[in-house]
Amino acid sequence: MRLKQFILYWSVPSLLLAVACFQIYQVKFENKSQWKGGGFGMYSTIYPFVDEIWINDEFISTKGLPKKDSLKLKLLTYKIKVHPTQKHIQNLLEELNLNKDSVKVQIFKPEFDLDKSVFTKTLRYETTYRQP
Amino acid sequence: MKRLIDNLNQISTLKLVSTCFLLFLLIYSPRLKALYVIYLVFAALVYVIVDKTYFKKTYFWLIILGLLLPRLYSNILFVGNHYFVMVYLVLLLMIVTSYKTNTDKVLAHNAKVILTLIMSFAVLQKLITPDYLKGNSIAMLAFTGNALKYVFYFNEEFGQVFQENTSTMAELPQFAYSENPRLKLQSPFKHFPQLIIWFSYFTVIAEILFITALYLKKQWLKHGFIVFFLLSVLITREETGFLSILCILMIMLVGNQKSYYRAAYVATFILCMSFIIVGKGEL
Repeated sequence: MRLKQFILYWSVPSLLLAVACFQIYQVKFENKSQWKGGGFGMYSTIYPFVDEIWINDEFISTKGLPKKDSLKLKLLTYKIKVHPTQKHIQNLLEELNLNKDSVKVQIFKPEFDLDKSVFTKTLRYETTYRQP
Repeated sequence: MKRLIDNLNQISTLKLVSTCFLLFLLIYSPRLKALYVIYLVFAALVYVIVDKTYFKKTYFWLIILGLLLPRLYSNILFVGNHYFVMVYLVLLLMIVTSYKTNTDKVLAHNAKVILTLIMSFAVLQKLITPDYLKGNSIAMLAFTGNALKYVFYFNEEFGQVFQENTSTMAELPQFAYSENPRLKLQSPFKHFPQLIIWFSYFTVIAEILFITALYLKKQWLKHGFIVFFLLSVLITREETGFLSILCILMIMLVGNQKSYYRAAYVATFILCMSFIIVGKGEL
């Protein structure tokens, strides 16, 4: 009877709670974007897809690429912007054919200085990726 | 009008929620470019024609869940938060149709707890993010004219300012961080930056009031505020996908006891659907 009551009244909210808590954990400890992952953090930060990825001090842009390559690169960079894991970074480096032993990866996010109506950027994430 | 509302009130909550949810999926699927969802809705419509009690069948919702989950798994980094709520809704409908006891009470209870959790996490995430309280998030929307879009819609001068700001902001990636780029933006009026910060705080307060409203006993105050909240979000942010889901949850919460409130949420849901059909709003 208790199990039935739990399933009826609390199972779905419990699942929501567990997913949202896990997402907040990932936000705090894995630099995941608050926008995605079921934690309801939309609008807490600027949309992550406008962040910039710089590798070895070069901005990764999809401008000028053929449509197919551009889409593939966008997808790989979007994944890093949402959740910068070693796996996602490795996938991007492979796509860019960067086979150096050590690669500096930085994500910059836009920032506003509202007192002076100025638009600038700040470092959100930085890592030095080493080939396994 | 009264007859229309009375007729709406005669529909069971489960049927109304199921119909709204399937309508949402039908209208939502082309924007998602998700072929399997189109198949799903087509199958659902055939089923509706053959069997009018489709919404009472657990396996019907199980199939829908089976068709929604692959997208969640493959696009977990890209799907919006309302996609998660869609999955929770289907799970709830599966449970309700499986046990078939106290359906309205179970739906209302779950809707209340789910809405409380959604808004609580929305508030929590904003409060733990210093960027939000500094106005960063709203500033991005405001300086490009994407916040309060309809308020500024008819002012050409403001439109020009937002367009110039958008072009200026697009230049940021050209500069390396070491160059310390500081791009000057234009304000459409004098206290615009202050307004952005106030609006950021106001949003958090409105979300806290939403949670409070869910537990108010005075029904007119409770639903009056929530409908006002939903319409305000629709005008300022055009979050039509998420708002549609919130409307469905509110329909669950109201049940068929308070006919005018139920009609208000159905009307807001229809408004959101209309926005999605004409290509407006975020999904």
